[in-house]
Amino acid sequence: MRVYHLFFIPPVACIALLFVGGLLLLVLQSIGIYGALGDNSTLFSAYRYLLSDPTFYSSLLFTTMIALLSTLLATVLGVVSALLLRRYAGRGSIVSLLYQFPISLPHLVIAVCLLLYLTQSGLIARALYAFGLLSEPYQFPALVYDRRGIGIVLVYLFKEIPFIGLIALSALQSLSSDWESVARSLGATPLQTIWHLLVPLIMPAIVPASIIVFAFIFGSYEVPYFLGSSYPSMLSVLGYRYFTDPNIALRPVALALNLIISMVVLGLVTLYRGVVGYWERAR
Amino acid sequence: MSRFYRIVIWAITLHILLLLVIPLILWTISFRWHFPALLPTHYSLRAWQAIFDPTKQIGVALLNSLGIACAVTVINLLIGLPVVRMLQRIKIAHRWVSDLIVLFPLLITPLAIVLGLYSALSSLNIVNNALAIIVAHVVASLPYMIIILRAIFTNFDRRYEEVAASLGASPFQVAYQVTLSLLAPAILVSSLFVFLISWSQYLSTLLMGGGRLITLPLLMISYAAAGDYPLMSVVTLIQFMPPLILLVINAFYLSGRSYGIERAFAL
Repeated sequence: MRVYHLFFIPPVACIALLFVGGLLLLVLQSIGIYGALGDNSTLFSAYRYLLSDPTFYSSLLFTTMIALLSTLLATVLGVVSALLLRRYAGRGSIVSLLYQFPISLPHLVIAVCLLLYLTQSGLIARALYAFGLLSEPYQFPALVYDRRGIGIVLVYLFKEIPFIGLIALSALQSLSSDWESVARSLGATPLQTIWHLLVPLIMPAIVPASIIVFAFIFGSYEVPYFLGSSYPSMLSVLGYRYFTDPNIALRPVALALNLIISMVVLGLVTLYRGVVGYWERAR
Repeated sequence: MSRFYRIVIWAITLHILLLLVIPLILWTISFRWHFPALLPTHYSLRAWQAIFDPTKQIGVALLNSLGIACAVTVINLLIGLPVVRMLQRIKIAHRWVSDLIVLFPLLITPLAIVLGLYSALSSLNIVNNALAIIVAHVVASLPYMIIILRAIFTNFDRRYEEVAASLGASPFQVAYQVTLSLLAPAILVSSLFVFLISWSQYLSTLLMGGGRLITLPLLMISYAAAGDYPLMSVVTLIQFMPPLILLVINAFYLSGRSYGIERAFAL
């Protein structure tokens, strides 16, 4: 134990206090051991409330659908755009940097940009009017604040396609070009080379990235809070609404809901790591 | 033919970005722009003048956003650097401990931990101020800081430190003059990443600040809710600035090198 080891103590204590402490408080309050409620509450009442609430199930379904759809589309389009960029532009090229630019933009900024297009009097509706395809704003289908969550998915695509693309691009970069030459000299078409060679080789980098994207979207709250409809709402928004409800008895319900979101994500990743571990042992 | 595709890809990428920005710029200089006009029918500089109008709160929000994001970045570095150094010393056989420490906070949604901390902080009377907001932003950004720094340190050749130490440098000299100066560009990029996470926070700021401390995202959403699109667009454009600075730094100083940041997200 040297003196400078002592300098590791404060930062580790900070992490423990914030994350372990925060999580512990979350669990205790959601169960009802500690918190704002009076003595008339029983343990686990928040969980019983949630599990008997139909809104919870519709929100769970809606959240899963939004997260799955956004992740699948972002993965496919991200990999396709990475393949195109690798073929027709270098990785450090200006066009690649521009392509990556939306990663660093706040989600809500992209949401505002798309809002200007997607509302019923937005730019798309105006363009359709100019072409004589509609005569009144209400004829334009609601793409924001809508029950299908189209606006939410579009915002996530703007952010997550470049994220997946960046990871695919760096995975492609680390491959030797000999692979492709061999495949081509053996008579593979360009599409066969991509599908049977490049895509399987970059999968180990892409799958974890998509899981990160899914986990992020599943728990994120700002975009659905801004662009979502009031029903069905994503789980995180439902949780925030419970938390800020004037009825303080709903607070443990909000905390229980957030714990459930985290557990779903954590369970998914554990499952993935288990499958990967099993698969690697089997080889 | 290949040149043709090159131009097409350039055009698509550039147009997507321009299509994002151009309506914002038009809205900031519009006075009247009702359906179905494709361009504003009356122009005005009201929204740009509002930046200097204290009652519109744009200046205050900008300073608050910058101050909070800088504080969050410094705290992230102070916590992140030592912790990642410590994780590096864990033996390979016990790597799962380090994986657990790195991944667990990333997969718990930040709002969950912030909500957990909220009641403790409010019983200590430290909500509705900048400190509570900074705590919430650190919770949201620290997992990313640690996972990025860990990826950077994995590529770092420890032998530089051993050489310096064998030549008689103290641990602090090694840390400051060798490790930090070699990793400076990578640390700069991860700091910018964390800065941007704080810069883009909305709900955690609203919750922890109780709406008393206004930041740019809060102002943007409140103008959106009020239907004041010109002011909303000005505030949105201001938020483009740090990402643009990051783009320029990336293009000119780091020449597109990644320093292993994208490898950070391999589970």
